[in-house]
Amino acid sequence: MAGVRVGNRIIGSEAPVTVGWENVPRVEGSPLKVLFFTWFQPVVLFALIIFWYYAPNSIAKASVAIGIGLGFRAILFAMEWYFPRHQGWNITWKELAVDLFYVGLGYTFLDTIEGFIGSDALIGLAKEKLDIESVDWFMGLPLLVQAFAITFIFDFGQYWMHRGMHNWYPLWLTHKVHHYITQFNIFKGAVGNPVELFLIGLGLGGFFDFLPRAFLLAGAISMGIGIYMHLNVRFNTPAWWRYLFNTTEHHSVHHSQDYEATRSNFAGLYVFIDRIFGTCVDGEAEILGQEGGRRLSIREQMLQPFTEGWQTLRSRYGRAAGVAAE
Amino acid sequence: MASTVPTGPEAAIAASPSPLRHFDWIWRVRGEVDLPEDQSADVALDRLTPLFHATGTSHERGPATLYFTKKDPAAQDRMAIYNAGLLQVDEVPGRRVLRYELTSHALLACFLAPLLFIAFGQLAITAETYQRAQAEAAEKAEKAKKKDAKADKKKDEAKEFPRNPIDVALGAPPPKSKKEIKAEKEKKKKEPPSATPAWVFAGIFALLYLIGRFLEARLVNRLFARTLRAPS
Repeated sequence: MAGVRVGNRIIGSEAPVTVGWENVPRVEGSPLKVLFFTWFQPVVLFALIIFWYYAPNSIAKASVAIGIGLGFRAILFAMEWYFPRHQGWNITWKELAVDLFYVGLGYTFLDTIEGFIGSDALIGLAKEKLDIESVDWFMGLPLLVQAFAITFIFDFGQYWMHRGMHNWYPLWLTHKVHHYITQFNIFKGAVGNPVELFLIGLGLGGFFDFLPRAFLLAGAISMGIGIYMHLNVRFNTPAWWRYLFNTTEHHSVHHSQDYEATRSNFAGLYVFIDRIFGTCVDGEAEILGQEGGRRLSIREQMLQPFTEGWQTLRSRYGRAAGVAAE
Repeated sequence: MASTVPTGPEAAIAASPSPLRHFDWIWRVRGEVDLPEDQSADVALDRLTPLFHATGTSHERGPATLYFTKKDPAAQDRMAIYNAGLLQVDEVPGRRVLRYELTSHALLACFLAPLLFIAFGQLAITAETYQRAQAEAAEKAEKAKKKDAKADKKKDEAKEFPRNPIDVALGAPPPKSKKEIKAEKEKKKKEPPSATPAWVFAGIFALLYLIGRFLEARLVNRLFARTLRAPS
């Protein structure tokens, strides 16, 4: 496989990756269908922003946000069923059951643990022990600027954490198992080892104060942009959106079986961060996974970072200790 | 061709220990499909064999039997939920039937998953009770510390959330007052600790199990029947 040169790198020399928007297929069919799949993403994002900006205080609360989130996911799940991007990514009963297990784990066990050792808990403890106050000057800024700041601070941190996971072996051990997914669907973002899910959820936002409504707006913006990352639906995403935001296409390149391609598109929401740091690859991939597409069981997802880490330690230091003893 | 009593690895599938036999329907799918008229056992199994050429699948043929195992099957493998199975062609008066017995760890895990989520729910309630007690103790200590600093307290209460002129001009609703937020927090404190997500997921997995147990049994029966009857 020849691959395509992107900057200093050859993308797609080990596994198929389509590089360049001009080579990515577009939604075809009736004008209504094309119109729908072209404007769906911007219209939803705009509607979410308008709703949370103007909703009265009696409605602007977390429970409503959860309800909207669940409803929107249900709509996208139905769209995956009727308009799959790739037939090879279709949902099956087993995939659904396994993926929902990880989603459930996130909402229950991991949520409980994060109450004790999550970034908010740790930052709260640090502020108390060091007797420092949150930076509160953001609160005087316009709501939308605050909402952008919340999402950007988190995404910028996530970019570096994610990039670190692909460049530093101990972190890669925790993240690697997520890369064994062989298809995308609405739930795939939740699949991974709990240690990785904990690490990727760390953020510095707790050091800053924002208005409560800004958090709701930030949640809506994150959902309106980030929910498509692992989605099995094709959209005719507008060029400006693809330039600014991470898309299914970008993230599928990141999950391809091509090593160089996996080291791209690290941001969760704002792909312009990747553009700034030279790690963005515009394109898409259908063949995903590691080790030629071997599927990992839940047991392996949970244990592999530890077993592989232990084996690596043993092979590196165990042998050295043995030689020294001789 | 008449079936023989399985020996070797397939014996493990065919003979469940008797106490398990009563409830192994939880993770085992049994069924049968009539063979087309005049189709021999060898021809039937020859037709079915390509189904077991999938990634991660190995199989063994015996006289009128086929035993398979699967490890890490691909997501789109149509029999991905099964770990092992025995297919056997039997002679019954006037016809031949394919009988099968398939084992699924995925079904068993899904059946047990509600218990796991109920345990997570209990854990969440215990954790929340503990955190509330800790927060209450910390609040009391803080109050005692600030008893003399009444002026600071008044100053804190008076300080409301700022509002940017752009938001005022665009008509965004004013932020809730600190008093309102405090009242909401107090109200929440009085509610008992809840673990709603855990109960919801326990319910989801119970439902998923029921769907999977019936749907997958139907799908595999249809797969075998269609494969046997497909024009050669």
